[in-house]
Amino acid sequence: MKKNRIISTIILAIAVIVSISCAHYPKNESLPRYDAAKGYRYPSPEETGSRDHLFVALAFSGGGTRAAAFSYGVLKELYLTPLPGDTDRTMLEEVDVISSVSGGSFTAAYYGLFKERVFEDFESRFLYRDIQGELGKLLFSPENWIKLSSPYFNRVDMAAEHYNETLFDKQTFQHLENQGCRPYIAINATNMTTGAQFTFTQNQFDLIGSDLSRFPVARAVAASSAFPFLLSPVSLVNHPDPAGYELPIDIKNGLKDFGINDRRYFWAKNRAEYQINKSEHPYLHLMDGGLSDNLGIRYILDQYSRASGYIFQRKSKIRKLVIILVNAKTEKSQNLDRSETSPRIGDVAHKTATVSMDNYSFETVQVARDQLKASITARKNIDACQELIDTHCNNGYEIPPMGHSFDVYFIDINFLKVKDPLLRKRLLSLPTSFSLKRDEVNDLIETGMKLLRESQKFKELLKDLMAR
Amino acid sequence: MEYLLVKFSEQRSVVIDNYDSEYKTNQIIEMDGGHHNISLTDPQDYTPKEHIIILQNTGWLNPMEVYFEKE
Repeated sequence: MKKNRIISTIILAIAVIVSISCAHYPKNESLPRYDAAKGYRYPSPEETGSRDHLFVALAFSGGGTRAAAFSYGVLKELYLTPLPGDTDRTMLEEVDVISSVSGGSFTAAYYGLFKERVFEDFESRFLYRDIQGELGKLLFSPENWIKLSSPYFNRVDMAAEHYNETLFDKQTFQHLENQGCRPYIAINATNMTTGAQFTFTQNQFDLIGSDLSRFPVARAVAASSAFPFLLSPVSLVNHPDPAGYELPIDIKNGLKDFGINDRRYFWAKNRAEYQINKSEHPYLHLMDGGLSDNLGIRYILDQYSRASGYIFQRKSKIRKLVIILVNAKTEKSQNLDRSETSPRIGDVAHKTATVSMDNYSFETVQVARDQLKASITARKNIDACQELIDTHCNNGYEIPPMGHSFDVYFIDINFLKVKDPLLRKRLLSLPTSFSLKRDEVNDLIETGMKLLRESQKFKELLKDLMAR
Repeated sequence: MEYLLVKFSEQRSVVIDNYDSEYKTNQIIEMDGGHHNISLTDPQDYTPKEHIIILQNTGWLNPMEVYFEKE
């Protein structure tokens, strides 16, 4: 009898171990039928209507808890700022899209799911927590040892489960969709094979034949913040095409643009690859969004310039285009030049991983500024030419007018703008970590709020909105 | 960015690559360069039904021009 009980216990234990060690990451589900009107997509122009006159886009950079707290401060300031001329609304309610990367994705996703509740509990539920320590402890749990022994369950899957249960309350993209997609939360990761940005939207999931609605938001955030080496990539299944789906025409046309518009060509190629070449790519693996754009602003630029972009489709209606970039970039103290000896391998590895990213981020901001400036300049030049003709020619000739007429408010919030030199130095030397001290978090929140409040461009925006 | 002018006898929204751009006919459209399919929103009372263009080397003062005739 006793022998039977021991055998039963051993069999049960083996069954439990086998079942856990067969642990598998939650697969993204297939999409049986394509429907352009369904899923987590930006609302149609008919739905957004006159509110498009003021279009507000936020971009939250990467940088661990530092970025999450800094962007939270900016959100809070927008929440505390009434919409000029309408005391019932706040500036935060005017935000149309938040594009986020890595640490910034925690704040963006939490706000997208829980709206104003973010100001009640996000600090205690995330910002003050030692997430890094918690993940470290999970690695010592015997249950996770067994799960992690499976080739289909990695450290990032463990992290995603942890975020899912302790922060995002097991919510999926269906919940984001149910919130009316306003603001539209664009969580960005990086495709490990192509190096291209991968954004968690249904339009992107169409290309891999998958239904985003049942995908956990926590898993998207985990992919967005899967920093190489610390966390493994998030894997997705590339399913067959859904019934009724065809590659969008702007992607098909972009594929013909090599040598004509290379930027558009590579944009199209990186998307088409997974739809055209499914047998070559039955899976895809996603890493930290910061590797393709650590600012989250490239997604906004794509929406501005591509025919399929929802900002492009509103350019003729927008009167004020506001882009608030919350950039938590730091500047580590540079001691390398003080030593004659060659830098250590750790320093070389760190620089290799971050130098190109920093340079690219700087260039990205310049590209965004230049592109928006070109739109404004073109319109102003046409108006100026018409004025000259009217004044000097008096022949009634009319130049075709520019089809858009908006002002741009590009608000760049970063630590270099902090006036207090001690605080600036402290913030610029904060680590990229998911564990910061409470006073560091508080400094970041306060600074985010203050920098937005004191931004000349933001003040100008509020003044112009009041004058409407 | 490149510039396109779609000429038509009425004011109509211009469809670019199957998306309603909300830009109107007879106004300058600022858009991405390259291959594009250009048409108009309903009613389908114009000809040709579509222009396939390669948009490049334009400027705001010398946009590429395409024409639709009322049927």
